Amino acid sequence: MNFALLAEYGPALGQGLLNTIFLSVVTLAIATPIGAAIALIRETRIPWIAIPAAIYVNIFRLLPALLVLFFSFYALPQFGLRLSPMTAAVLGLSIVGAAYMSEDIRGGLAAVDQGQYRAAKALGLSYPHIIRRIIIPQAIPLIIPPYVTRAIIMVKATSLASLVAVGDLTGEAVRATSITYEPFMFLIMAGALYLLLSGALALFQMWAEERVARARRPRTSLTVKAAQV
Amino acid sequence: MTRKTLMKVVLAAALALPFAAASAQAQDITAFQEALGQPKPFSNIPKPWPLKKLVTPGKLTVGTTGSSPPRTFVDPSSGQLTGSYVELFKKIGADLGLEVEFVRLEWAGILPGLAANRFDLACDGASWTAERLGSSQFLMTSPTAVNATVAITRKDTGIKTFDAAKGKALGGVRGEIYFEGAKKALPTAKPTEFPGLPESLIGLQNGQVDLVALNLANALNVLASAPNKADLVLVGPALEVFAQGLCVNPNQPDLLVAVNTLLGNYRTDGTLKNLIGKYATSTAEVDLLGRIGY
Repeated sequence: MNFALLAEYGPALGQGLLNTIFLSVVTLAIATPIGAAIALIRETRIPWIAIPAAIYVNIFRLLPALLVLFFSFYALPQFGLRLSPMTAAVLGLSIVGAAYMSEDIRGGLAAVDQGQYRAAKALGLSYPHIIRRIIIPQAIPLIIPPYVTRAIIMVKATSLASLVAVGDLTGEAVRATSITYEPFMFLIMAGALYLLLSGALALFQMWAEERVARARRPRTSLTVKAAQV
Repeated sequence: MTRKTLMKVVLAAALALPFAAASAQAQDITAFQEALGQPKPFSNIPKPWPLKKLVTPGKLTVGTTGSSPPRTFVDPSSGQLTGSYVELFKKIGADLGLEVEFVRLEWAGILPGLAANRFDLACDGASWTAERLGSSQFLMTSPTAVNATVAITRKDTGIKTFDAAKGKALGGVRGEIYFEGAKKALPTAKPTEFPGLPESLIGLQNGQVDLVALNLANALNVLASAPNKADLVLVGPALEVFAQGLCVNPNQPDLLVAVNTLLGNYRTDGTLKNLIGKYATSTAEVDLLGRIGY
């Protein structure tokens, strides 16, 4: 390990890490509500909104994310829309991420027993009420594992932003490698930092699952007896 | 002889001595040249060269990007890897009695590949820097070309020199020493790091940057062959001048000696100049190696 080089390029790697965190947080913050909205829209089965949502999902799910990023940064200026590298990356990654995320969320919603819908409807509850009070609480435990996995994939996908001129963690590691010709040190550093970021999300998943499981755990016999009294 | 005359004689002799010495040196050089005869390659080399640590015995494994014309690129008509440095690698392999096997990969994988013992030889002319010359991950050969940091801009920017580019949007390839040098020389410029030269040139065309820093050989190639070459112009004079060479597997010092010997021969017999001239409009990068002492 060459500590002199590490000291020289450490600040640039740190800035790259901050850019990666910013890109991850903003992309997830945009993609999550859009993905949830698309999933709910598709679950309504109302053709005039569900079909366009399905078309959106399938177009962006089937296109390579890199192609979308290249289009947003290199092609849009040809149409008069000149985005900064970071804005283009956020736009491209959010569009693609929302398409994937909607499928993860829709899977969770669809996994809730259809009898729950029918029973709630028979009780006269409105669709928003059914979704909010009956379906979503049961779907969340099912959604958490695929959602966090998707979030981890999206964090790693931010490395594509280096190809549209964003100085993210991958970009700065590649830059340092190209200048110093030290092929391992900076890539290993970047890998370790990605592990930390993704690891934090994996820990969040464990915490969230544990919390949901605790909330759904049957009350103890003592509690039940106390309730009966 | 008067004292004054004696002084004049001594002074004249003192003044004439250096000229006499220079004249004697010139005579020696001339005699040496006559004895050597015409420039010719050094032929007393091992045949075959005993290379002990080739990645695959009997083969010269070469890592190349295939994306840096005119040195290494894929011929669109044939789909074959070609270029001046591809031919140079083939020539080196042939003269060492080895079959040449090319492995195409991104630049980011070239040096890790060398360090991981996946190739014997790589780099389509990598510029010398203190860090690279001192690297333990690979060995650099003697120079194959001289290159320099220049830039390309659109004619409509009106930029002709680097002084006029202060505060402008500067583009370049991430990690390239030409871009890094330009960023240092223009601290007020707003830099945008592109992943490759084609992307940098699209950024220039889109107006996302005002100029793109790159090496002189690539700049001349772009100005000669880019689809929008009529809109482009060179920015100079050069910020820095570099020697460029090939990279050798760090476990193979015997290959470094062999390649350096052959490169010296190719300079002498004109092979290097001919290979460059076959693919580029100018052979100046070889002709001007004398400017940096080679």
